[in-house]
Amino acid sequence: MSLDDATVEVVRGSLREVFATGRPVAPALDELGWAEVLEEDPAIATTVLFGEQGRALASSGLLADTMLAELPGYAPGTHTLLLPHPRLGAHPGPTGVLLASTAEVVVVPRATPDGVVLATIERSSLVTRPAGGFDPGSGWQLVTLGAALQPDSVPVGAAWERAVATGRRALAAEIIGVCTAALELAVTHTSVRHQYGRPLGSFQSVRHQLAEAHAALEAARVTLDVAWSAAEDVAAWAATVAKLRAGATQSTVLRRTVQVLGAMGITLESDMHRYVSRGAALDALLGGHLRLADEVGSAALAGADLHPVVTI
Amino acid sequence: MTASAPATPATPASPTASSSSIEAFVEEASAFLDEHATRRPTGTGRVVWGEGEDRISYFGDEPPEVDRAKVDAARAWQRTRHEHGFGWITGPTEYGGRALSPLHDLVYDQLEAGYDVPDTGVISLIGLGMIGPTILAHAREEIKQRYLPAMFRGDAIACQLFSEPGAGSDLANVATRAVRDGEEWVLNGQKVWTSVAHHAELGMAVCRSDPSQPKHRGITAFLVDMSLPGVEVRPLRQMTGGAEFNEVFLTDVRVPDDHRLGEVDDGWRVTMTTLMSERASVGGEGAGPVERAVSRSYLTAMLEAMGLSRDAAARRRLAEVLADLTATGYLNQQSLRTLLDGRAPGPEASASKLMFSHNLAAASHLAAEMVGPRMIAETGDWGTFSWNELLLGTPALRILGGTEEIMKNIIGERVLGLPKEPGTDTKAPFRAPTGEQS
Amino acid sequence: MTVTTTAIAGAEELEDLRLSVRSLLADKSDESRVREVMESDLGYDASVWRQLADQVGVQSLAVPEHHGGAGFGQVELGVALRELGRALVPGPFFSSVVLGAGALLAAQDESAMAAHLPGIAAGTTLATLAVIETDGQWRTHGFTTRAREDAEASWTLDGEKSLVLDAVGADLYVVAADTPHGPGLFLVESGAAGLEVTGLRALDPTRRVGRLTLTGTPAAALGRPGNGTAALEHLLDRATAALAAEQVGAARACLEMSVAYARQRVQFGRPIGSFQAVKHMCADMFTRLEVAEAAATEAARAVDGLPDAPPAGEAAAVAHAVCSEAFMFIAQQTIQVHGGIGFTWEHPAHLYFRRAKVSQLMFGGPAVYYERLLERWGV
Repeated sequence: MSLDDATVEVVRGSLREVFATGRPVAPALDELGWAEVLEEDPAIATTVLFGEQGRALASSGLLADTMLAELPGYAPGTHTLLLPHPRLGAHPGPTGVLLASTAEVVVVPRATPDGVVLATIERSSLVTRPAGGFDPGSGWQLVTLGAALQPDSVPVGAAWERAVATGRRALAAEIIGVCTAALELAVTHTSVRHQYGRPLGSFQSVRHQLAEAHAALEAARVTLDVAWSAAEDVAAWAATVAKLRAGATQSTVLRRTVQVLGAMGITLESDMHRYVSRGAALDALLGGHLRLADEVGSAALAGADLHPVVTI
Repeated sequence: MTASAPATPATPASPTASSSSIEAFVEEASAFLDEHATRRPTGTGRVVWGEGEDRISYFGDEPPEVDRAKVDAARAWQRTRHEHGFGWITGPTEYGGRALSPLHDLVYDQLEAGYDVPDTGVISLIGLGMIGPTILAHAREEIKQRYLPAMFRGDAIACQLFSEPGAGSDLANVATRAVRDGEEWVLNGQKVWTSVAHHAELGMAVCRSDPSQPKHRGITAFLVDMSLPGVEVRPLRQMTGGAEFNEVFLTDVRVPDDHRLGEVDDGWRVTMTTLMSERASVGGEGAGPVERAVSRSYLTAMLEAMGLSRDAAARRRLAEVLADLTATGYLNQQSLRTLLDGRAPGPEASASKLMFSHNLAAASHLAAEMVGPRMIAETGDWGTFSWNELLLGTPALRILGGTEEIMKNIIGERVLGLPKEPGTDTKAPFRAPTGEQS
Repeated sequence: MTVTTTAIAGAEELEDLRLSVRSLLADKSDESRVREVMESDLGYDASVWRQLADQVGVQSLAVPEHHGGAGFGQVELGVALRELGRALVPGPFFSSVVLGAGALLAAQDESAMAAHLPGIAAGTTLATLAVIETDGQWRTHGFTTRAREDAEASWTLDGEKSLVLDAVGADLYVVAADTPHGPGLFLVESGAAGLEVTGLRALDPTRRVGRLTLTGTPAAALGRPGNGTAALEHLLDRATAALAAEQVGAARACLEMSVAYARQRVQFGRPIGSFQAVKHMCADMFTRLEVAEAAATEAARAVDGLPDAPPAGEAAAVAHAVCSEAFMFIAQQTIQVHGGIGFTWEHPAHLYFRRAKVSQLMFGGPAVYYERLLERWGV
């Protein structure tokens, strides 16, 4: 039950084309028969899909759709999910982020003493404003909820935790996609650009910075693979670690790619600033790496069993 | 106490020859400043969260009219300084200077820092600090008389036309052509990273005059009147959204030969005069809003405002940043003391520059961590969004005045005496002349 | 609480001092001699110790003149400490001259100073400080070691002190203990009843440590019992400023060693110092060292109360953090620059590395010194 390498390459190629053309992603995925691919191998399918979205710096509601799939009773397409505000990590609260989506019904998670419950609300009745920040290209909207939620709150129990884990794995893949593209750009630039009569990439300080970026990125990739293969009882923990690692990696990788681009790295002529902004923005969703490091560290100190995740 | 230990209690350092005139100078400068400027209230260093200027990026990215007004204010203050004898403290009197020592200059800067006066960086950092000394050293007499007084009066702002798309840190790689035509030179090429070009009346252009020579030879430098036909300045947008830098296109710009700096094909030496001033000035220069933001007071206020006063991890990172920041301040004070004692500063100046960019990067990343998600998804909170600009703008600092990598090469080779990398391109002709060129 | 510094040396005198210490150590305490004595029973070269006292007067530098010293301050002491650090000279210098004399000065107990400082200044009395207990934490209050006063106003101590520098062989111990009036400092003489001194295996063979067990041990109060915390805080400024000088001295030796190696060692047909990776490593070491040097200098000036110096509490805490980190970083990079040879017992890199680690942890380590820095600023 897994995709062979050749199929993965075909799928990747098709997705890259979809994102490159800027077409709406959901119908394009239907055309590709995505549901079947996803069922065949959710790990690779999700990783490739979000990796390509990150590489293309595209914006969509795919993250919400992927999380909704874990929450029974809501159909992606007609529904989208309100994500917790970055300030809240993965804990639903009175404010949230709406991704770029055309869905008319918003599924709103709320934290109660008995766990997370879900309610639905018409999108048109929500007051939204652009998230702004430094990645206006994300297309995110900020929502502050009033009291006027519909009363059909449904308790979802452990499903919320599964949805967050799914979301974190998807985000880790997307961050890795962003970093991969940034690193490729940096490698191309330093291979082509000559200073002192040599390609920049032939200078040790440049090579070593790129090598460090590469090593960090590969470590993040492996951590994500491990998270996908983690047993069910530790899946949430493993997904948290994968998201943490990817978030920390974007900081490591993008600082170095900006530096080796020299003056070019800070102009808008180069795409590098977009990778920087998107990387930081994605890191903030469902718990930034510093916050997650704090959570994981606290859990470890409180005696959490680390073995299931690290066994490879 | 034995023979070889310090034998006697030292007498206080004997007064140097100039110290009495320094005292008089301090008196004169203080009187001037009292009359023309307002003393800063004491304790302005203290930051109260939510109050005051919330813009901290190193590079201004205000709307053009605000930018223009600041430049006008800078020119006006420079003129006032000049009229009262503080415009060019170290300059020769025949060009409007006071012919005093660098120490007087430092003393004046220290005094002026206690007053609320317009920031004149747009005039002084590059024009007066770097191009002025170059003109003084390498221009003809009539050119010195024509431009130096105007520059130090604030009438002429000067910019560097140095970097090019193919010549960044490796400046000797410039390709902008200078071709002699009688008593004129014809300049063609593209310059990038020229800060303040959009305000400048003058530019110093480094051009390729003889491509058949090795790259460090065959370069000639010129003073270019920025209003000449064929000079076009275009803003270059940065990651921060601002446009402090420009591209400058030179198309058949005709420069009189008397505007040449130094000898024909000897421009590299001229350029080194300019660059040595740059590497000295970038690290030490008080960066205004940045200095305020990358300060103990600001960062501590931020720790409290973000509710992190008891967060062990945030406290630790803050302490690390503040320790380096304070120690770098000590280093700079010691360099100043060395100068005041009349001794030559040592290699610590290059360490100071690296620490400056290190501290700035560390402080802005710390701030980004403290502000956290607010920086990404929200605007409007005082002190949060502006850190965005600094976070994205920091790389520029690390590239200014030579990238950190180049600075480390300089330390490694000139300070520590490590061998150079074997050069591959210092002997070969820059580029074989092609048929199309005369 | 001020320390009277009666003399201030000029730049030339400082340079003379530096040269006398350096030449004496180059002559009598080179690397092979250091290796020899660090494995000896005594742990240091008693004749070098004597010559430092008799020929240069290093032990007496920062002791007030009326207590038999030269009356100089931390700046002058720092010059000597840089040289001692540079050569990794084993011996009770830091324990006796910095900590022992420093504690007597910090407690401002005139009779104790009159009794013991002349001996310390002459190098004939070896004093040391016992603060840390079995948990290994540096603290200035809350000791488990107890001091009791009997009807005749004599004190006895009970408890255990660990990581005491040069405990074996010391003549005089300054011991921190809790009293009913609060923390206090006490003087215990070697050979006192109920005092047991044991040497411990140390990470840094050039700096010995030991343990004291005190069982009803008679002691003399140093200063007013209850005043111990203030005295220890004050001592800490002096001690960390002194440590900073020693750290930058040793770190500079590491940098010089690394640069010399990078110039001479050839790989891939070029000196390794011409490769950016190595060159930039050296440039980073240099930069950290310059900043650390500035911090150490400023701390010494501040402790001496020079008029244009920053507050001593701030400068000493900054120097403690910056110099500890810098020495650690430079010692690590020294091993890195040297490659395989830097990892061998024969090469001195590991000795500096050991000293860097021990110095960094001597007064509590990073968690403590960073927090102390913030406290000094009221954060």
